[in-house]
Formats: sequence, C-alpha cells, structure tokens
Amino acid sequence: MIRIQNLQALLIKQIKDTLKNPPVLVFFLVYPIIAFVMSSAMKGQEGAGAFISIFATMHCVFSPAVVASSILSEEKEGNTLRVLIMSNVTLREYFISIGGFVLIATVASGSIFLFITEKDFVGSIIFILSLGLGSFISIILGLCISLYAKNASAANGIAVPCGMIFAFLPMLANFNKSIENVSRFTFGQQVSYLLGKGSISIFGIIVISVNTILLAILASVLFRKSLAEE
Amino acid sequence: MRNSINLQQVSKAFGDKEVLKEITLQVETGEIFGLLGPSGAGKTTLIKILTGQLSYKGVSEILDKSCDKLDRHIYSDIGMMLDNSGTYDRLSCYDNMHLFAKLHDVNKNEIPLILDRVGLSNSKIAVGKLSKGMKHRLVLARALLHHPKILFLDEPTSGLDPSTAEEIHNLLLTLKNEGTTIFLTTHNMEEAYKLCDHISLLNAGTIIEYGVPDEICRKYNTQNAITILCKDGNTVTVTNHPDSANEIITYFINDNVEAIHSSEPTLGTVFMSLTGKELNL
Repeated sequence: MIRIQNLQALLIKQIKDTLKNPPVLVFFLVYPIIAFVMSSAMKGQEGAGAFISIFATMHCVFSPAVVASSILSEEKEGNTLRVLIMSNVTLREYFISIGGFVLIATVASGSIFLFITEKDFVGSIIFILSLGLGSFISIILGLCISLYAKNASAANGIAVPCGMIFAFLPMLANFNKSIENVSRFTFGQQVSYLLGKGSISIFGIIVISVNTILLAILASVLFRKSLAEE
Repeated sequence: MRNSINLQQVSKAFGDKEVLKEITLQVETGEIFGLLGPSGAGKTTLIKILTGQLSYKGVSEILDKSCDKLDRHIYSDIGMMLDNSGTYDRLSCYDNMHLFAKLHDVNKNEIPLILDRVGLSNSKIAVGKLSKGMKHRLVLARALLHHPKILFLDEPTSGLDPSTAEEIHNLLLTLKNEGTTIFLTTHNMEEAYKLCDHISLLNAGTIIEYGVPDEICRKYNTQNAITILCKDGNTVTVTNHPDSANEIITYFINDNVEAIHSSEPTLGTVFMSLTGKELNL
C-alpha cells in the first residue's frame, strides 16, 4: 500500500534539495530560456516557430533522463536510498515521488514555451501533455541508467550521450532526411512531431509504445539484477 | 529476560565465499551487545541480515519476527547508524531530520529536543559543512528520532575524537537505562569492554567467543601473574600464588613499590590468543 505521507515527505525533500542544487536547476530552465531568447531574437522571421518544438523536445527528452539518473544514482551512491527504505519507504513510493517530481518540474518549467508559441487552448493542452509524455518515457530511461551505473558520475557519463541520441536526433532530422529515417523509430522523434504538429500517426503511437515497453522491461531487468547483486 | 534478537545457525555466502558460518547468538532486551571483530569478519553482513536487507540460511529473528519476512512496520522499532552515513548533504540538519520525522510519524517539535540531546544545537547548517564528529551525531539523532526498541550501531565512534566518543558512550548508556536494546559492532575493545553487557568475538565469519567481557578476560587469564613496578625503576613479575606472598611483602617492606598490577588479558589480547590476529585491523 502506498502511503501518501511518504510521497509528500519525499517530494518536499526533493524540492528543497533541488533548490540547493544549481546544476539540476539549470537543466529544468536552460531550454525554455534559450527558446525564449532565440524566438525573441528571430521574431517575425521565417522558421522562428521551429525552434520551439526543437527546444521543447530537448527539454522533455534530454533533461528528465539526465536529472532522474543523477538524482537516483546520487541516492544510491550516498546510501540515502537504503536509509529511506529502512525508514518505512517502499521502492515504489520512492520511484513515484522522484519520478513525479521530475515530471512536474519538467512540465512546469516547460510551460514557459507556451508564452512564446501561438497555440490555442486545445493546442496548449496537447503541448503540455506531449511534454508530460516525453518526460515520462525519459524518466524511465533515467531510471535504467541509474540502475546500471555504479555511481553518480558514471550515470552522468551514460545519461548525456543517451539523452542526446533521443533528444538531438530529432533536431538533426530537421536538416537531414536520412537521419529522420532512423530517428523516427525513437520516442524522441515522435514526441517532437507531437510537440510541433499537435497530432500523431498510428506509426508514432506504435513507436512510442514499443520504446516505452522496451525501456520498462530493461528497467525491470536491471532492477532485479541490482537486487540480486545486493 | 526475553530476547530481542535470536540467531540460530545463521550462514551467509556471497558466491563461493562464505561470510558467516552457522552463527548462533541471542541478545537480551535492554542490554548493550557488542559484536567485535576485525574488518571483513562479517559484522556489517550480520546487521544487514538482522534488518532484513540480506537473505540467509538458518533462523534469524528480531523482536520475535523472522528476518526474511519483515514488513516495513518493523522499521518503526529499529534505529540504525550505518558506517556509511546516508545523509542529504545539501539539506540542513533540521531538514534531514524533518524528512525522517514525517516518514516515522514523529512530531516535528521533537526534532530540536533530539538534536540537543546529541549536542547539535545549530540545526540550520548544511550537513555537507559538518565535521565527521558532528555528522556522526546527526546520524545518531536520526536513529533515535522515532524512539526505536532496538538500535543498530555500526562502528559508532570510528574516527571520532576521544571527547566526542565519550559523549556518545554516555548517551548509549543512558539509552540502555531507558530500556533500549543496543547492538553495536566495533573493533574498539575498550569501547566494548566499557559499554557492553555481552560480547561476541567474530573472526572470519565464525563466533569464537561469547560472554560477559570481564568473564571472558578472566577465562583467558592464563598468565596468572602480578607485576610490580619498583621505585628503583625495575619491573618484576611474580606468579599470583600464595608462595609469592613473601616476595611481594619484601618489596613493600623495602618501600620499593611504585605500583602493583594484576595481569588479566584485555579483549584485544584474548582475540589475539584465539586467532593470532590483532582485533583493530
């Protein structure tokens, strides 16, 4: 059974900790701010709107993976996760709170994009939901990385290139059709389409579902492996 | 008196390496129990088994519950001070305590009282800026926060200055008088001798001796000698036997006795005689 009080305590802890952790804070703000600056500078020019979906993709695909893996691996390395478990916290409660925090923080900071886009109410809701979807899958990716990595620095070393594959390929695909032929099989590309066009094809739903299932299976395997290693 | 901890024939292996071999011991409720052994003897592994963190073979019970079937509610009755502190270094002492107070349903008004009790008055300072001794106090405060029935302390004074160690010793004795069962691991024989009601000597995964520290020392008092430190600078050792009485009296008559000592072995020398190794490795 999930204790709401535990979720609340962990969420408050994570908010306080993140506010005192500038590198993580930067991850939540960097892409919305860059997009804001770029779109302001290019206001009225052709292609200005393209920046929003490019940076929104990076924001909801790259940042959550790096931040989630960083938080989780730091807890693992610092032995705080073990102490939490010895204090009535279940792993399910822990993952829900930390995942929930990263999801909320990504979507909340991503709402800055709405100030620079010209979306109607429905378009804005779809945009926010797309940010949430991208963040959710990206958090599972971050979980896999933190379970696999031995420590926080190793996790960062893996999270950055992994995040780049899923988040930067869609940007490069804008300029190169061959890259798009590959990147369309990643959830990052499909989330990028969703953020830009506000709609998704059947093929996109299949890609996102398959990506999510594969990452969830990987997380489960790594989780069991790490328990066995204990 | 009933037992808080009961181990019968407990074994644990990591792969081919057997870390604990058929450990049997009991810890009475309200006592301080010391598990002594050099690094790598299996002390921390035993604590992990007792707190449900590791699987094992045999019978292991804590507060009458099997350690392989512990539910999360048992952690309300257990306090832990691990060798690796597990604190949030960016948060303040108060914020660290506040998190665990919420998790254990403890009123936040108790936090300053507990911090005061371990001598941490400045609760606003970030944990990362604390000295090792202060961090130890915080971890101890966290372990005490929810008034556990059993306190597990893994090397509680390791690396601390003598004054901080003394303060922690006094606090542990107070907790014992309040009825808390304390299970501590250490390789500090003086600490064990001073604090513990019973001890076990653990070497290479096997318990090689169990009992009251004083009785163990007397049991291995094979030397049975008396040492006289003479005023002329000589040191004389005589057998502790009626036949030696006249010889000892002579030193007193000649006013040549600076000090006189019996020569019971320490826990360290007992361990050395049993294993051929030093305890504080």
